Amino acid sequence: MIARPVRRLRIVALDLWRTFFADPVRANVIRARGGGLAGVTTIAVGLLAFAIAALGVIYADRFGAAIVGEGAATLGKASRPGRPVGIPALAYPALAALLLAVVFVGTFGAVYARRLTAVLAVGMMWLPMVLLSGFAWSLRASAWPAWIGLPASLLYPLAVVGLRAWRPAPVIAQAAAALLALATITPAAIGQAIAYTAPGTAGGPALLGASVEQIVTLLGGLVAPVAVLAGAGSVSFGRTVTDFLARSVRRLAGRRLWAMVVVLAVLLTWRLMATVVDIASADSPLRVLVKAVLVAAIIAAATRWWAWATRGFDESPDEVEAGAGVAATPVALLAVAFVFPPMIVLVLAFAEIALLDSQHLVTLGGRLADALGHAWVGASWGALVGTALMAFASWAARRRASVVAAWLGLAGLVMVVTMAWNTAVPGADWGALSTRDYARVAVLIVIAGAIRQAGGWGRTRRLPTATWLTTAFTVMALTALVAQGTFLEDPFRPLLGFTGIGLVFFGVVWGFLTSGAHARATGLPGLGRAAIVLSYAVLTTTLIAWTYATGADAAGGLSGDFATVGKNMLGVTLLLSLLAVWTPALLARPTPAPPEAGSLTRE
Amino acid sequence: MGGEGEAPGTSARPYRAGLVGALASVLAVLLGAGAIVGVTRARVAPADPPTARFFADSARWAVAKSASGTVTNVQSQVGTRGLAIADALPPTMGAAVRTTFAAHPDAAAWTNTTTILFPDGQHANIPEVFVASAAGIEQPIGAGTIPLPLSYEPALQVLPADPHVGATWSQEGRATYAGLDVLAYRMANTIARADKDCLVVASDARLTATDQGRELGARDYAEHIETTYCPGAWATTTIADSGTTTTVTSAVAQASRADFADPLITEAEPATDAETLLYERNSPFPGTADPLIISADNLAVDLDETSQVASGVVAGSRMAFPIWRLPGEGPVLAAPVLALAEGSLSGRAGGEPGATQRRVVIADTHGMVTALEPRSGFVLWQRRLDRLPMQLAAGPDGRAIAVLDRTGHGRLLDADTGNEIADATIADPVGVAVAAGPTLVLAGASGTVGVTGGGGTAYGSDTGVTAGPVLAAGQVFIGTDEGRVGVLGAAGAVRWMRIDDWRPVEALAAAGERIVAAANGRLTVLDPSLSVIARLADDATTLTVSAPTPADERGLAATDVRITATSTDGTLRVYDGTGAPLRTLQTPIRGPGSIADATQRAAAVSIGDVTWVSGVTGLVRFAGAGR
Repeated sequence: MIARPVRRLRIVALDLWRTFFADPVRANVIRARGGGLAGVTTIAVGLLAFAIAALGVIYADRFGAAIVGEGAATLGKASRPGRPVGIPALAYPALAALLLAVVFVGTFGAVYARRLTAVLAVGMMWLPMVLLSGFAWSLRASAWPAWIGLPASLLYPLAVVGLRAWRPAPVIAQAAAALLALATITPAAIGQAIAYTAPGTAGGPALLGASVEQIVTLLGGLVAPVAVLAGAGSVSFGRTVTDFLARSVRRLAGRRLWAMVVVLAVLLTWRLMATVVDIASADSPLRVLVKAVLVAAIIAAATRWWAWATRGFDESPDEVEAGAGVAATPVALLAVAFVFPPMIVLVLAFAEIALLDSQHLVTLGGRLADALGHAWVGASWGALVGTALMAFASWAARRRASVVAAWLGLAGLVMVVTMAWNTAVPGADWGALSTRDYARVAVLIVIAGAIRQAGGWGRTRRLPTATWLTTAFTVMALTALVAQGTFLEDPFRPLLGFTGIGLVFFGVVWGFLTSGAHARATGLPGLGRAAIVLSYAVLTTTLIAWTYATGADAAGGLSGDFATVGKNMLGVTLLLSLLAVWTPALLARPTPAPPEAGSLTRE
Repeated sequence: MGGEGEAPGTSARPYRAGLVGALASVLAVLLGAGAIVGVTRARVAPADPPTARFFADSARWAVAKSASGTVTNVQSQVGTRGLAIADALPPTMGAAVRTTFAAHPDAAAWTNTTTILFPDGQHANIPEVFVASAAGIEQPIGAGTIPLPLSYEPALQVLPADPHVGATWSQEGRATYAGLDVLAYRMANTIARADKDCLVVASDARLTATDQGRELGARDYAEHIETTYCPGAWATTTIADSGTTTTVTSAVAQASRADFADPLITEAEPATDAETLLYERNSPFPGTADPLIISADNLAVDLDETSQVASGVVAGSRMAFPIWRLPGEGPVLAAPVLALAEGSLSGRAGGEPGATQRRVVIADTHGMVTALEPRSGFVLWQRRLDRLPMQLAAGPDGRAIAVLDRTGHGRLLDADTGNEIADATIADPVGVAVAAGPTLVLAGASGTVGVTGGGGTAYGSDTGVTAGPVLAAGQVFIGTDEGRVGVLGAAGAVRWMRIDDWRPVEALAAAGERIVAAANGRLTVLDPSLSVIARLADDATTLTVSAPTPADERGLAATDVRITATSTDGTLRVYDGTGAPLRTLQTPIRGPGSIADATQRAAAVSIGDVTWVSGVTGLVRFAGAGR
């Protein structure tokens, strides 16, 4: 007979495996069903490309630092003054080859996916192919393959429309996807390499590097939505971790309610001390307290809003997160939508230069990029989107109460408040309004609830309920992880040893493997959607690998900033939603556990 | 549309056809990817032809003696592969190199840059370009009888297509500089014998100066020469009627010049224009690293990404050609630094280090770290690293330099020899400095570490760094992602000053008694006690601070310090050490023929009333007030 503590530890270990690996991967593994061999082999190519790109991210620093042969390293244009970017020459063909895989897999998916998904996919793939082949077209005089890429790229959307209308067997669609990928990417990439390294060309690899770097920079906007979601995902991952911790503590405590109280007391004491030290060590503790009052008011408003918007629902944290999952993607797209117009204009500008040899759109694109590059543009856009979201959520919640409407309203509130704060309050003195500020107030909420529970214990001599203890533990653990930051942003750091790329890598790569419910995809439309998701994952991971291999500064500009935006917008929204659900429970009148209530687990 | 379920064509009967079709599609995609990789690889780094085995890939030194045994000159030679040097040569010479190269599909180019020191302090730096192919080794650019590189038409045949004992060949043609006929040449060559893998080529060389050449200082030359070419070492011995040149070690070369006068400063009439293009770039790329200005030698060091060449040019005025060129094996990322050799701080007037003790240290993307003499470009040592160098730093006394690579591995090297003194590693590297001791200080996103030559730990902090480390008043300063500037003390103690509570410190620079940090569109000027001297609205993302050596015992005045802030749009703002604005300048960011603006990458440097910046048109010198 196995001793009880050992049995409980085994259960906890099994739960760990299921929570973090088995269940998410099983639910999200791409099964490639419905497309026969063509589907399986296409997905296999995509997964191979994804693995290569992911390894590129993991080993980006070593790849970027490698000295790989004569003439093989050059510089990009988009670096900061004094911190130039080095690009290993092997990165050019690796990038182009992975783009080839992106177009191959994505085109196959676009043939069968539902219309909106297919349109987004074609747009996603059209940008890199037009940029790459547009650059190559301007070099067609010195490299004949460059003649092929741009015409093929311009005809590409028509070809996809034709394939969708025809709806051929997967093996035919796969062959067509291969031909389209080969026609649009390969000659353009080879043409560029030939033209820039021709003996009569000054610059050589440096020009090639600058050209590719320019393409990657323009493609940066494609990473923005996924980077925003990655930032938000860190808080979601935090809740998964704290749920697991709470379950484990309950399992290990068994029937001993007091053990749970002790664990909570220790956690609460530690968090309180950390918060006090945090506030005391600030340059101006008074300003921190003023921020805390503001955040407390936001949480109070959010709690009331949530109660109204979800009236009649008895929603669990899982349902809150599900609501966030539904609404987060469109909000992420809306939040970064202002970066797309200059990107599209600049892409069109390359087509204009290539086809008409004129530069009207270059000037327009430059002015647009300059105009939209000002901080106030992003702030104004955020405030506008936030206001619109609040109005829409109010209208939707009035018609029908729902968790999604409640979440959208809070997302709007967070956007407006954050933008107003960042614009109106001098950052040097007050700091940004971040997840840490919410974490500090959460500690105070739990303390207030604990005092109330202690009062109840004083009157009845009965401990709080297991549910209250679990909620309090979850809030404390989650806010501790949020305040600490590093673990949620880079949980692989202790395991894999690479650092500095956690937030984006974790969000994109791990997020792809463990979210999206790919396993539920069925039939050819499902396979098409899965192929497009895989194609997008390869594209974004490739771009991230490129930026990290060529210098951390570029990576920060491309994805890190958007990830921070995601954490500060959508991550705070999820945290606020959870606090809106948990706060009434934490501050509720004590309902002491009945004396016979022993077991805290249902195992 | 949108039917669910199995698709037609996936049932058992056409299984074989489906299998073949699927595999063919996948194979086609993989072959397409392979073609991209293969073609790019072959184009960027082509395989060498057999004759390229004679080329040497590192620095060499040689001593030339007259028939009577007197040292007539001492040479350093640096050999690098690739055609990139063509972009640093005058256009006609670059075209000649490319023409020779393009004539052979299997060609491999090699540049051998020779710096020659003469006993009277005269010096010359001459690049020679060689092209190896199945047709042998040809030399389109070479030395003549003037201290300038000449373009040989047709290119000199150094070795024939089939280099064997007894092979003979002869040539005649002309040599030009910038379109001017300088020399007529006639060569008759024989491979006289082989010594193991080496070949001895006997040549009868006759150079006849033209009238234009004589005006430039060219003279007639006729000699019988025997040159020994060895694989991986190039010309190891040259025996002529007038004397012998033999390859030696760096130490022997240095000892052989012991009686030589210091290399002369290259003088020129100071520029009088407010804006002078000191060194013009052939390709529209802004400089890759901050220029290094050495006032004592009237020298500015500029780095050109396209040609992968570091050039020493006259800092005060424009000259037609650089004082020296150092071809790199890749572009240079890290700004060069000035170091000093052992014993250099004494024995010279005014405490100034001697000309022969100063070293410019340069690192290229292929890990080659080179120390050379500023006035002449004479190479003192080279050291090859196994990772891409990211940043260089020199210590306060200049006797040690540090090289930080992209993996976070830092090495502390003796400035005199290049030998390693200490090393350490930091995760997510940001910067490197050398503190007194010497102490190697590495900073990264994971913290700061300082180690001494004996392996001891001098500093340590686990606060993530976004800028620095830099040195001021003998102390080490860092900038963090929480908008703080810290000064490191012993045993991990850090004192902080918050300059911005919101955004990370993006750049940190220091000199003399001033530390300047850039964060959130603002510069903060601090003194070593971290007291704020000034806060300035400035969106610069890179900074330099210069503090001249005090002229007298009163020491350095804050008004003598120059803070130069560089923005990506090419705006340069210069302040003194009190934060008072002195001038605003604009460096060109659109090169000739370009359709779009470039990003200004390198930081500008100011000394007194002059500012230098490595911009898209080349190295620009601004003098006077600006706007």
